[in-house]
Amino acid sequence: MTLRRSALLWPLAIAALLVDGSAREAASAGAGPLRVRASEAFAPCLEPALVAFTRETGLPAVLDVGEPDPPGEADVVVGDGAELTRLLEGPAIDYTTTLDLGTIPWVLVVPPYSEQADVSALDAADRVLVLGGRVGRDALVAFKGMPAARSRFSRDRGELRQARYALVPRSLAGAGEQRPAGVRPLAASASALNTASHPAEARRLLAFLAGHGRPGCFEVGAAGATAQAATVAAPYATTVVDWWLPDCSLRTNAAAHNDPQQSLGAPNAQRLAQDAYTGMFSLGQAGYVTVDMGASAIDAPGADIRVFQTTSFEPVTVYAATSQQGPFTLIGFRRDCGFGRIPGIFSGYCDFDLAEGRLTEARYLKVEDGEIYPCLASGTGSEGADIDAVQILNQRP
Amino acid sequence: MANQTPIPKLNHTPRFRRLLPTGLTIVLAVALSAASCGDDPAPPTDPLPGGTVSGRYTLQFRPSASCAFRGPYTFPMTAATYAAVGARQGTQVVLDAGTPASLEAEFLYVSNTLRGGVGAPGTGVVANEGTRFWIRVIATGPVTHVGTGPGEVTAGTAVGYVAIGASADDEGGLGLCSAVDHTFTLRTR
Repeated sequence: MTLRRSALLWPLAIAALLVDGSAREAASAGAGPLRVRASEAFAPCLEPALVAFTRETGLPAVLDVGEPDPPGEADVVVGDGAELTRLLEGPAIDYTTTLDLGTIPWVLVVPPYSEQADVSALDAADRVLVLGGRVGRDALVAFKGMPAARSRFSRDRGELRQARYALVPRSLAGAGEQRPAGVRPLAASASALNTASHPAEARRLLAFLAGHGRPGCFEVGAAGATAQAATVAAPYATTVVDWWLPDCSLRTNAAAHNDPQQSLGAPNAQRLAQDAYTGMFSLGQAGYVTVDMGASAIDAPGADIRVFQTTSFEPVTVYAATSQQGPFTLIGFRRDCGFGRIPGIFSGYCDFDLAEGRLTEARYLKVEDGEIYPCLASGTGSEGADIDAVQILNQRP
Repeated sequence: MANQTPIPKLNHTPRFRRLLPTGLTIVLAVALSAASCGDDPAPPTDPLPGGTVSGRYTLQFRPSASCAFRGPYTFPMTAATYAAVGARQGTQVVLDAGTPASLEAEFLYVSNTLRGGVGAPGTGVVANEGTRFWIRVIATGPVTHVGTGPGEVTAGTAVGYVAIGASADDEGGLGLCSAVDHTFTLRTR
């Protein structure tokens, strides 16, 4: 699959700019140029940055455009957290090099001055072109109001830019009017791979991107990266009242990640080494933990509940109840979790609103794995969403 | 075969044929036949809750009516119920052809109900119907059995994401759908 895609998506040679002796010397240190792998969404941002890197350092760099996982022969991989989950949970990425580059919002492109409020009233001949690949599928699922069978995927950047209607990251938007899509922005991170042929050059590129070479089209400090303050004292889960992991996950996960008690209290997860953490409970394939918050959350303006999830953006599902015996009501299904960040806290988070389940209050929360990745194929000691903490944002006074 | 005792054939006995009318002969034959089987009741046919989910099954999945593609999509599966963890019994159901983990379900089995995750990510899995299929759902279904037969799910529901495509790198190319009312069955084969 990878070979075929690579053939179709011809690698974009950013720098055949070997203009002096130092560049040729640098290139000879490894076999060929420094290779960067990124999906179509990030390519328009990275291309000028790589040209600038080559101009400044004399190191040739090539951008392979396509799904970042599998990374092929790349030295550096750039992707949204949802694209990198399997890489981040395995041995492929050198986590000590990981760099957050910023975010790119999704937009709905419509013809200029279009009077249509949304795409539900499209003409029969119109289709909404959607960026293909993992992030595009997620965006299409999250996008509200798309008529059935009225969308089509494309990974052709030229076609996406020319489409009358398109659901794309802003980096791929054409000349039409751009409207907010109501979809989680893409959050780009860059990492060197442990299999890199040019490890020193890869680190040098990451240092360049972290400093004055940071691509300008990424937003830094976007809305999703700022925590919403709790309106009242914000209690964390106090007691585990129920939990379940499949037998397969119990056997394949590291023992330290099979303890549901790790989901209690304030967020405290830390990475100890490659795919080794402390302070989190890995839910395996569709496992869950039900916690007593020790107080009741109420439906108030904004989000009411926050789940801290440690690794990439692994999705979680949350159900809520007023009684330990239930019934538990679904308030959020397979929500990408970890996009929100709070300085000083290793885990990211995602928020839930009791109103989504038409609940006015809840004390017991069931947090379920939403990744649903086959356990037998996991290849990691931390399979499934990794729960660090569960917090009430709006507490009943 | 040489030592096998021939089975008596009642209606070939001349004396019975002379003494009894034909209709009465049949009634008597049925009565004797029933008596020879003891007092066993007729085989049960009504499904009862629960049952052991183990062995070879067919998983049939029907996307929600709100999806642009309807299926059904069926897969040969193998199921095994494993020892209880604490008070919990679990059931693993995997593809019975090729790579088992390309379609894997991990269920909690309590209160005669299977509930858990069904996943086929990556390159997807080819259904018996020939369509390549991707799935990430939470599925729930009551288990029933007939007599001493294995447990089956005849009316399950599922919440989540399904997609179809033309090839391994075409997830969603022919359609994708996230819904709360997919349905599935898990029947023995």
